[in-house]
Amino acid sequence: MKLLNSRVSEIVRFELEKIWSAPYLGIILMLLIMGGPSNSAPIYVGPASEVASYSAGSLKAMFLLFVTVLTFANSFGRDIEQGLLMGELTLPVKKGVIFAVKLLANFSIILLIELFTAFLSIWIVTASISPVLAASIALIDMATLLLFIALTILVSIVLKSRFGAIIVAITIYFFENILLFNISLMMSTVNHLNIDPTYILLRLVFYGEVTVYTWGIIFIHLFFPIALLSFAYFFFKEVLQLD
Amino acid sequence: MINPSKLHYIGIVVLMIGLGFSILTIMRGLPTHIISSSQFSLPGNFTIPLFTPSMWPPRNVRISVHLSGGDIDLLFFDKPGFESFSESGDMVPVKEFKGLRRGVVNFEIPVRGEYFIVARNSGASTIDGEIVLTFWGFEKDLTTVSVAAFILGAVFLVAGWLMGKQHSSKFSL
Repeated sequence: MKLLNSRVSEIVRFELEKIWSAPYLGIILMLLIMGGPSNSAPIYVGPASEVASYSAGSLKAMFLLFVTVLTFANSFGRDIEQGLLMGELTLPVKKGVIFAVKLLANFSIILLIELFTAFLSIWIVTASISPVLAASIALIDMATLLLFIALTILVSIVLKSRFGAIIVAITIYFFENILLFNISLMMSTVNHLNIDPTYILLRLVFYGEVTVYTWGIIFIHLFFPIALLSFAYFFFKEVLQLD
Repeated sequence: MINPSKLHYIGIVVLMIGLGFSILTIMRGLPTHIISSSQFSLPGNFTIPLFTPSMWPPRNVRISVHLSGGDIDLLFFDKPGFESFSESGDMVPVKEFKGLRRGVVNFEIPVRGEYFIVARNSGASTIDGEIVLTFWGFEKDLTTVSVAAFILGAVFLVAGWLMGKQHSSKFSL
């Protein structure tokens, strides 16, 4: 057990050193600090949950998507392309554990970054610190991104190409946004209905609001990615062959 | 022994955070924000809150007063001060301007928070008018964080570089 723990911590350390270089982490933090909801709310009255809801789908959401997709494409796709995964697979650890460690290590780091920026935005907008609110916003943002994480990992290991994974994930993100925008236009051309997935999930968590889109969003952004990740896990464990 | 490469790493990250804060400070600091009290009428010997509660960042405020019929006093309260004023009538404002009728006064918001403005008419006659607040300048706390992050990042970077140099010269000997 102790040996397994040391092997796992070795993979985590290798993963973090490989992906999270200082300029990479620095640029991500810089983009998320300047792109958060706080940049567009100079004077605001009301709960921070409102700010979070109305800034859903903002510049920060796009930065966070690019960062997440790039991180997972590097973690899986680049490792396969450059043969680094072959080295990891020679460790006396099950393939499934390597998959889980790579997924969780990167997910945790992005979650921490998102938590930091959520704290910061709440403080700037409301002059108070609310850990529960910040944690909720960070978790909802990450839950919304789960679909793109799953797509990136799956395409990375099936196509063995990080660029393919990045293009597929980003295309689906924009396709979803265009589709949702058209649906909202069909509903009303005067008052645009906000059906951004993050907004729908934030309204559900903070205000218990259930709309006709809520279950669809939950299915597409939570259940479907879990199915994709399970498929990717079994593909990685049983099918993936490296030259 | 502290690892020089770790110091270097922290230095770069903190510098980038400082850059992010600087850009945010500029983005929030460049536009001015204007709030108007709209036209009000204040009877003699009367005190009323003028603006709804607002979250104010620590910027400069230009208070433009346009009144007719007499002078008023303007009192700026922070949240605890306003609560105390509403409950017991105790007046402990953050800032007080007396005898305003026309013109402009400037006020620097000390810290980020909710602020309330109360207008007091000590005279007997009714006063009509409007007060316009213009928020301008960079937010002081964000500016401080930006500068602090730049300095801290630079210190870490230089310390990492010096320690690395010392380390390599030790090995070359």
